[in-house]
Amino acid sequence: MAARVQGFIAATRFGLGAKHGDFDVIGNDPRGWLTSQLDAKFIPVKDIPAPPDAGAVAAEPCVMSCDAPAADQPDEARSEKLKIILAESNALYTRVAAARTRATALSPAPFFERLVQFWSNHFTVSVTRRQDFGVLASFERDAIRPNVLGSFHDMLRASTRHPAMLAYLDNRMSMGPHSVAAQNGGAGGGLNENLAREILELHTLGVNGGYSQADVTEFARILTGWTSRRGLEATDFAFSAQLHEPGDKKLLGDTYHEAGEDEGEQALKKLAQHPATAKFIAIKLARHFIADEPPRGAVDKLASAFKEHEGAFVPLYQALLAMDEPWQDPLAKLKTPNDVVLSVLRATGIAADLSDAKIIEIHKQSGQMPWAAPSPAGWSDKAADWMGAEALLQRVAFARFVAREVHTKLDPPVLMDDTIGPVVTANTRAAVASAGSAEDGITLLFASPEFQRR
Amino acid sequence: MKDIHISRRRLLQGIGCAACATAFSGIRVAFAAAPVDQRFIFVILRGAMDGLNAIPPYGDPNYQSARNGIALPASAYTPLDTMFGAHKNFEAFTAMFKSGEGAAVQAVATPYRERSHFDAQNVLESGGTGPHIINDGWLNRALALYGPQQDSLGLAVGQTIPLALQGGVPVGTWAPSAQGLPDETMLLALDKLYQHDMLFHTALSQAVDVHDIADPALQGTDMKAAGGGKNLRNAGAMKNTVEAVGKILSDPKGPRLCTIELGGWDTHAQQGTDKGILANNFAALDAGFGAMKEALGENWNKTVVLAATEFGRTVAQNGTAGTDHGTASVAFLLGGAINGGRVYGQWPGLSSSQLYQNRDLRPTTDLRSLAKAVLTDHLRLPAREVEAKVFPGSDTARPLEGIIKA
Repeated sequence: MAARVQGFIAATRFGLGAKHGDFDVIGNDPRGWLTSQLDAKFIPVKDIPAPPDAGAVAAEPCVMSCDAPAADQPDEARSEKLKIILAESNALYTRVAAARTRATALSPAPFFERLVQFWSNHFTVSVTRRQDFGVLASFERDAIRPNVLGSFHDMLRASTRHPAMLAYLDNRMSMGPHSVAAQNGGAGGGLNENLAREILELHTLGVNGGYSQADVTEFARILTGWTSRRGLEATDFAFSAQLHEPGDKKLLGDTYHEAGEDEGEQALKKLAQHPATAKFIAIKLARHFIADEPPRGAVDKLASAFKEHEGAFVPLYQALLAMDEPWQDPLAKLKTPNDVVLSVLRATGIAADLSDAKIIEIHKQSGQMPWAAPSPAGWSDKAADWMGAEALLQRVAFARFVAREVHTKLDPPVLMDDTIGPVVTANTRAAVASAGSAEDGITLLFASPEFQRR
Repeated sequence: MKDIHISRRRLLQGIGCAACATAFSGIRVAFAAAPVDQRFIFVILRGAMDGLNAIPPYGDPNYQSARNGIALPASAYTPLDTMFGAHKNFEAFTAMFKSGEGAAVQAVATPYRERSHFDAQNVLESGGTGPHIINDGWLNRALALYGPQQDSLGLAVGQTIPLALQGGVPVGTWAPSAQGLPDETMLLALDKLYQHDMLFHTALSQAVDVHDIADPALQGTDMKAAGGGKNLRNAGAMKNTVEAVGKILSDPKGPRLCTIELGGWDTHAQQGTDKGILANNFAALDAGFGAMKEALGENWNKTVVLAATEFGRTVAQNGTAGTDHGTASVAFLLGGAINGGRVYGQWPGLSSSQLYQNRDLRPTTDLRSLAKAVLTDHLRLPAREVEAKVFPGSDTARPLEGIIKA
């Protein structure tokens, strides 16, 4: 029995929810099952369409970097053109987001995919800034996935250099006050410190990581010139010497001599090695895989592993899997709506047959859309932010919505054993068994605490 | 378990639910008069609103030069007095200002002096002296002062409860386009299903409570027009949502304290002046202000609305025609219960020596001074309790006098 519970934890907390036969496959070796997924063969995502040709959607300079483009300049022709671009972008969103959800739901390596989504959320870029979607689509594929088994520094570097991040956090146009561009009377002619601040606060040191406003400003100076060509791919990073602030800078006590693009590279390397970063990443991992308020001992162990292996991810994941804490309370975490969507798709096996539009509709019904975190902090990993009276009703309505889709094909008690069998309570078992119809039974199963938690 | 609200009796009928006793221990007694008749709406403006273009200090000799390029031209604001104006998209606010039902407080900040949105919002909502010092929200602690039986006095507009309303006192949430309650059979099944899970069971009970009030009140309201409440940055959706909220707050047995959240203020790029993203957000907020007065009807005289943001923005524009994270901003006060028609607060000035850290508007009024005045003068909570329990460590922030009608 205990082994079955560990299997449930492997499939649900570390994975994306169990499907028929998973508990047998995992058997008595949940750690082995998870470790086998830490394999580079899972990096490519062949089913996700590549963004279209860069030139097709990026003719306007403002498309990638502006909220409500052209709002200040009511130029009819320009806004018409933007409308077309945004419509194309929406269509692309539907196609790529649906393909991603489908591939994730069908993946043989759900732990790997959870890690992708964890890091994608840590380094948030979001459609809420109304960026052209093409560039966002490449972010997870080109900056996150290839580095999930790499190191924190690799991923930090890839994220910071990616055009989606440079646009999302406004670094593209950030201009050194004494740069050549500013001397030439470039518009505004000033720094934008958004990216610098959020790298320090949200990506590396954490808000209590010991930096000051002066560090934010200096780091913003260091990052001036980190921009992108109007392309869609990760390779379209560009360094603009024209925008770069000349002179020495001082960040966290270290002096960075004028070195153009390399200043940013050196700064990211330092930040990745900073002990505050180790601790911050440890807290986030522990919160995701152990509990909303993770035990301090567990955080310390992860931080040590991060430091010992210099931010290499695989030893860090192995340290996590080797610890006792994640294997104790099988229902400690509340699933996000996105978790619920993925676990429902896995449990029912319907993902392969759903149209793109249907998958997007399912996300809408759940209340959480892909790549749409409300702020650069990403989606919350705490139950309090995902539960309330209306949130619960939406979860129940979502369970009903999916049950309507699948009730003619699936047997509620079997589905229950396949997904939450090792942890099901007598209450839930009775509720599912005594439901008036298969539709009601499946609704209650998907709405049950055992299914809604991980 | 004593005389529970009818809806909960309905929910629990026939079910001997020992585990629910705790969940239901804080229940509103059916039909009992609420201990407070005043209404309070706290509008949380997430993302750091640029107060210098909301209520522009056009009379400050440095306003145009300090805001190089993003200062409002005279055509983009309506003067409120000889010093301050209101962005022209604040039509409803300006009308209320003129009729004495609207006021602004300039150069307001929480005690937080760093520039992280998330820590700043934590301070704004927890009411602590710094981030993560207190784990629940100041509005919830205020609710607690009414005693243990008053659970449904709080309402969060949205899917979940913002930190400002989180805490030991149960509060409801409501969102437009809400599903409505499941049928009776399903409700009873869910009640049993969630028997041993406090998080789920509490949420279910609150859902039943809120819907018992909201559903009849909203008959005939087009919830589709509220756009699902997802995007209140759309003025139309805001108006429709707030109209519905006003109906819920007008119910004699309904909630009294309510939060509404509006994001989208983090204008790092291309923020615009008379038009643009910031101006559009002003219009959405203003639509909400106008709808509140409309929808609360006769209860407007018993209402105070406080709209505040976590911090302000830099005085000067940045390199991308926007503004970066700053310090002081503006807060709005509305309602029939306030002494409006004034811009409160001490103006710190915009010359470079007057700025905070040479970049931001210097804070001169502690936001807690406003909140404390609302709690004591409007909601009639005992000052000592407010001091000790709602805003501990706020003794330097004296309640702002005179903002609430005597």
